Amino acid sequence: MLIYESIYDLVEEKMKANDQTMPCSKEAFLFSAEMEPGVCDGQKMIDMENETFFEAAFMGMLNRLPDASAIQGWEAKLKTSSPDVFREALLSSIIFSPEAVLIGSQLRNNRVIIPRLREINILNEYIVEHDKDSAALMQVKKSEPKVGLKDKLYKIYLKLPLSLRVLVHKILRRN
Amino acid sequence: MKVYIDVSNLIKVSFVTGIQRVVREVVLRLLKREDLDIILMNYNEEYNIFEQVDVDRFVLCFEDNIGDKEQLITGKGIDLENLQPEDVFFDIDSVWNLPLRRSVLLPKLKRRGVRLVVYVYDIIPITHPQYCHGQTIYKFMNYIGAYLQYADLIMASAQSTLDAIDELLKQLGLPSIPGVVSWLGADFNIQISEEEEIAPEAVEAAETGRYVLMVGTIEPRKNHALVLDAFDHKLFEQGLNLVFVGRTGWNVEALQNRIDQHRLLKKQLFHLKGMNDATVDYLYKHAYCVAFPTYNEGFGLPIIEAFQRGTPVLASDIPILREVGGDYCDYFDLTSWKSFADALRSWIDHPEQYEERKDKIRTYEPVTWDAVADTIGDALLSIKKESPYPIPDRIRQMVYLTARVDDLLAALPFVEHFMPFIEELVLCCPDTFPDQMREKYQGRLKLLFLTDSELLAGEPLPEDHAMRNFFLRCQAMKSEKLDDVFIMADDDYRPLYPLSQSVYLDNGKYQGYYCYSLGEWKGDQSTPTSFDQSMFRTRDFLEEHGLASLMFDSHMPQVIDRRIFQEILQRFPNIKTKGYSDWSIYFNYLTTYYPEIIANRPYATLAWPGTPSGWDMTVHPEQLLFENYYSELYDDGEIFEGFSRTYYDGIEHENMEKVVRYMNLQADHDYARMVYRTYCENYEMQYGEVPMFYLNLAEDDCVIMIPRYVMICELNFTRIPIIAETSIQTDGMYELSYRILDYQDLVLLDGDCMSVPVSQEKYELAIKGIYGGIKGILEITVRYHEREYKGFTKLFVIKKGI
Repeated sequence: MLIYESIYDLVEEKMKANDQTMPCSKEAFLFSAEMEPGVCDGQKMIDMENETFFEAAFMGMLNRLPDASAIQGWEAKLKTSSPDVFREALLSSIIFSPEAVLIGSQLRNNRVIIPRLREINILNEYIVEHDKDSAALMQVKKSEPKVGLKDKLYKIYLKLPLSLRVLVHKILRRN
Repeated sequence: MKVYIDVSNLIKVSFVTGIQRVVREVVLRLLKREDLDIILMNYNEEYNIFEQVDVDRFVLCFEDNIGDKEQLITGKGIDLENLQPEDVFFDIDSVWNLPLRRSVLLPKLKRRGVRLVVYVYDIIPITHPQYCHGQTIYKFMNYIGAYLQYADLIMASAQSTLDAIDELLKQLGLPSIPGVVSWLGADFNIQISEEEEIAPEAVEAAETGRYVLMVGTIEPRKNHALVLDAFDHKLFEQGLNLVFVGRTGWNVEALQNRIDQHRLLKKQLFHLKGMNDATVDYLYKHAYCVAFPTYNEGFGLPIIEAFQRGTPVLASDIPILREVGGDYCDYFDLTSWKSFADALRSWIDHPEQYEERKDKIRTYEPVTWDAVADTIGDALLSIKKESPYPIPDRIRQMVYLTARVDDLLAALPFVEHFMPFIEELVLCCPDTFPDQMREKYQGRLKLLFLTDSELLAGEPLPEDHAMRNFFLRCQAMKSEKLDDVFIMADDDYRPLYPLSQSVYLDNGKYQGYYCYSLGEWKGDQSTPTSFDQSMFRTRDFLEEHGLASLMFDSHMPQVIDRRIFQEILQRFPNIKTKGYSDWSIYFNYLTTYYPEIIANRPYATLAWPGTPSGWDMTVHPEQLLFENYYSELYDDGEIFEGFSRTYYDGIEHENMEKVVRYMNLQADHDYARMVYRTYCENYEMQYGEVPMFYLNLAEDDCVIMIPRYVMICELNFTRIPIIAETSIQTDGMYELSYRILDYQDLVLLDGDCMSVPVSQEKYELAIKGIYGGIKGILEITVRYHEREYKGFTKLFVIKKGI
C-alpha cells in the first residue's frame, strides 16, 4: 500500500501545481486498491469520514467514482444527516441498485444497514425443491417479512452511542 | 511456457481505435508464431473469473470481420491456480478500465511465480494528470502502481516512456525493471474500401484553400488552442485555413465554444467530427501540413500517419515527438503560438525548404506491425531464464533431519521398499545417534551421518523448534556429504506405494508440491504454534523480497537442489537464524528465479492435516503418495484404528484402504464447507451482505452481532469466521463457546470452548453439526472477567447428500 500512497502523493502534487484537485481522497483510493471488484468491506470503512465513505462505497461496489448526478443527489444528505443515517441510506441505495445487482456487488462485514430481503429467495426455493422435510421444519415464507416493532427498536438501538447501548443492555439484563 | 493475454477491452469496445487497434494488430500476429503458446482471456465481471477466448474465432472476427464478438467467449473458466511459474501474464490493453484491479490480481499471480509483463503506452495520468479525466487518473494510479511493484518486464512504444517510468521508479524508491522498446506500427490492417465515401464537408474544407490539419480528439492535452491562437493572430489573414478532425473530448467547453462561435467557421476554420477512414486519409493527403502541438503523448501516431501520406509535420518540441519524428519533423515551442506561426511561415516564405521536407519524408520507412510483433514476441521469450545448474538424470540420496531413532527405523522400511531408486541416506542428527543407528539398522540403505557437532561447528543451537530445524538444514547444505540433488524428508513421512523417481523429476523439471498459499495461512488463531509463526515469518520474508509465496510445507519428502539452496544462502546471508520454512523459502525462490526447471503441483500427502477438519484446505491433492504419520491417529476411536503402524509386505493394500477412509472424511468435510458457502452466498443474495459474526469487547460490556440465521451441515465441523474488536489494552484472554439448543431450550450440543487473546482481531470458531434436519438455536457465549455475554440466532442443520 505504501507504493500506492506514494503515487497518490506524487499525482496530487502535480494536480495542485495546476490548481486542480484529485478525483478522490487518498483513503478511498487506498481502500479500493485492496478490494476485489464489486466488493466493499464494511469493517475497513467504519472509521471513514462521510465524504470518504461516499467515495469508497462507489469505488468498492460499483468500481467507479461517483458521477456528478450521484454527488449532487447525496450532497444534501452528506451535510445534514448523522453518519449512521447517511451511511445506511447510501449503502442500501447502492446495494439494491440495478448496477450493483448486475455486477454482483457484495457488502462484507456490514455493520451499517439492517438486512432486508432482496426479491430473489434462492435458498428457500432450493430447500423446498430438494429437502421436503427441512422445508417443512423451516416453514419457509416466500413473502417479504413485515418489519415488526422489534426490528424498528433494533434500528433505533443501532444509532445509539455506545454508552447508551450499554445502558440498554443493563436494563434488559435486569429484566 | 504459456502466455496469457487479457483481451476483455478489445472484445467489449464497439469500435476499435487507439490502444485497442494496437492490441488487435499485435495479438493477431503473436497468435501466428509457433514458438508462442498464447491463451486469450476475457474477464467475466459477474462471476469474477477469467474465461478462455476461442482463438480461431478471434482471428476470424478481428482479421476477417467474420462472426460476432459474443461468440468468442468459450465459457471455459481459467483457474489462476493452474498457472505455472514459467507462464507469462501479458497486459497490453488499457486494462486499468477493467473492474479487476491489478492491485488485486498481480499479487495473486506473483505468489504463484508467474512472470508479469506489461506494455505501457504512456504514464501521462501520472506525469500530467491535469490533462486527464478523474476516472482515468484513479484507475491508472492503481494499474501502474501494481506493475511498478510486480512487473518482470516492461515494454513501451518509445524510449521516452521507459525513461519516464525509470524516473518514476527512482522517485518511489523501487528497483529498476528491464525494459524493451517496440515502437508502434503504421501499416494498420485496414483496407479503405473503394465504396467508402469521402465526406462532402471534408472535400469542401479541402477545396477552400491551403490548410493545416490537426487529427485527434479535442482535449486539453492536445493543445488545439495554441494553433487556433496562431491562426487568429496571423495565419487566417495570410490566407491559410485550419481543419480540426476529431470528436470533442472532456473539459474543453470554452475551446469548443470558441470554435462554434468563430467568425470564420466553415469559411477558413473547420471542425469535422465522425469522419471515416477514407475521409481522414483524403484530408491527410491534401493537407499543407499536419500540426501536432501536444503537451504530451505516448507515441504520436498522427506523425507517422502524416509521413505515410507524404505530408510534413510541425510538432511540439518534446522528447517523445523528437524520438518518433526524428529528422523528418520540424519542431516548435509548445507554449508559444508565435513559435508555431514562425515555423509555418518559414515554409511558406521558403517553398524550397518545404519541398526539401517533403522529399525527406518520402524516404521515411515506417515500422511495420510485423516488426513490432516480432520485437514483442522475442521479448516475451527472452524472459525465460536458463538455470546454470544441470539437472541430474538420477536421484539416489535422501537426507533426514531427525533425533528419533525409533521413528526413523519405523519409517525406513517404507522407503526401502517403495522408493527403490534411493540408495543412500544422510542423517542430520544428535551426536549419540549414529551409534544407535548402526546397532539397530539392518536395511539395504547406506548410512552417512552429519552430527550436530559437525553441523553447528561451534554456533549455538536455537531453542525454538522451527528455528532450530531451519538453522540445521541451512548448515547441512554446506556439507559435501550431500549430493547436488537429493530428497529431503522428516522421519514421519512414509511412502504409501511403490514410487518412481518421476515423482520428483519429470520431463527435465523438478516437481514441487505445495499445500497452501502462505498469504492465506491463519494457523491456530487462538494460540499460534511454532510452525504457524514460522509460516508467518516466511510469508513476510517472501513478500518483502518479491518472491512467489506458496506454502511447500506439504509434510512429504521433496527434491532439493543443494546448489540453488546455497545460492539462496549467499543472496540472503543472514536468513539461517530467522526461523523460516526451508521448504517454502527454497521452492518459492526456485519458482521465482528458475521457473523453467520447476513444475509446482498440489501436495500428495495423506493425513495433512491429521484429520480433514483440522483446517480448511484450499488446495486438494491430485493423488496421495505419502503419509504424514501421526501415531495417535491409529489409536482406538481414531480414523486409522485397526491399521498397522509398521511396515509389512503387502501393506500397500492396507494403505489404499486408509486413503479411501481419509478421502471419505475429506468428502464429508468438503460437503460441509460447500453447505456453509452456499448459505453465505444465498444469505448475501437475500440480504445484500455476507453473514457476519462480530464481537466488540469493552471492559464491562460485549456487543455480539450474529446473522439472522446460520446454516451448517450435520456431523461435521464448520468453521465460522469471527471478527473481534476491543478497546481494552491488555494481553488477557477471553473464552468463546457455543451451544446448540432446541426451541424448548433443551441443550442438543455443548460445544467446545476456546480461549482467545483479547487482541486477536480475526479467528474461526469450529461448530460441530448434530444430526441433520434440525431447526434450533445457536447460542454464542463470551466469558470475560467473570461476566457472560450471549448472542442467539436461528440455526439450520442440513442433512448430508441434499
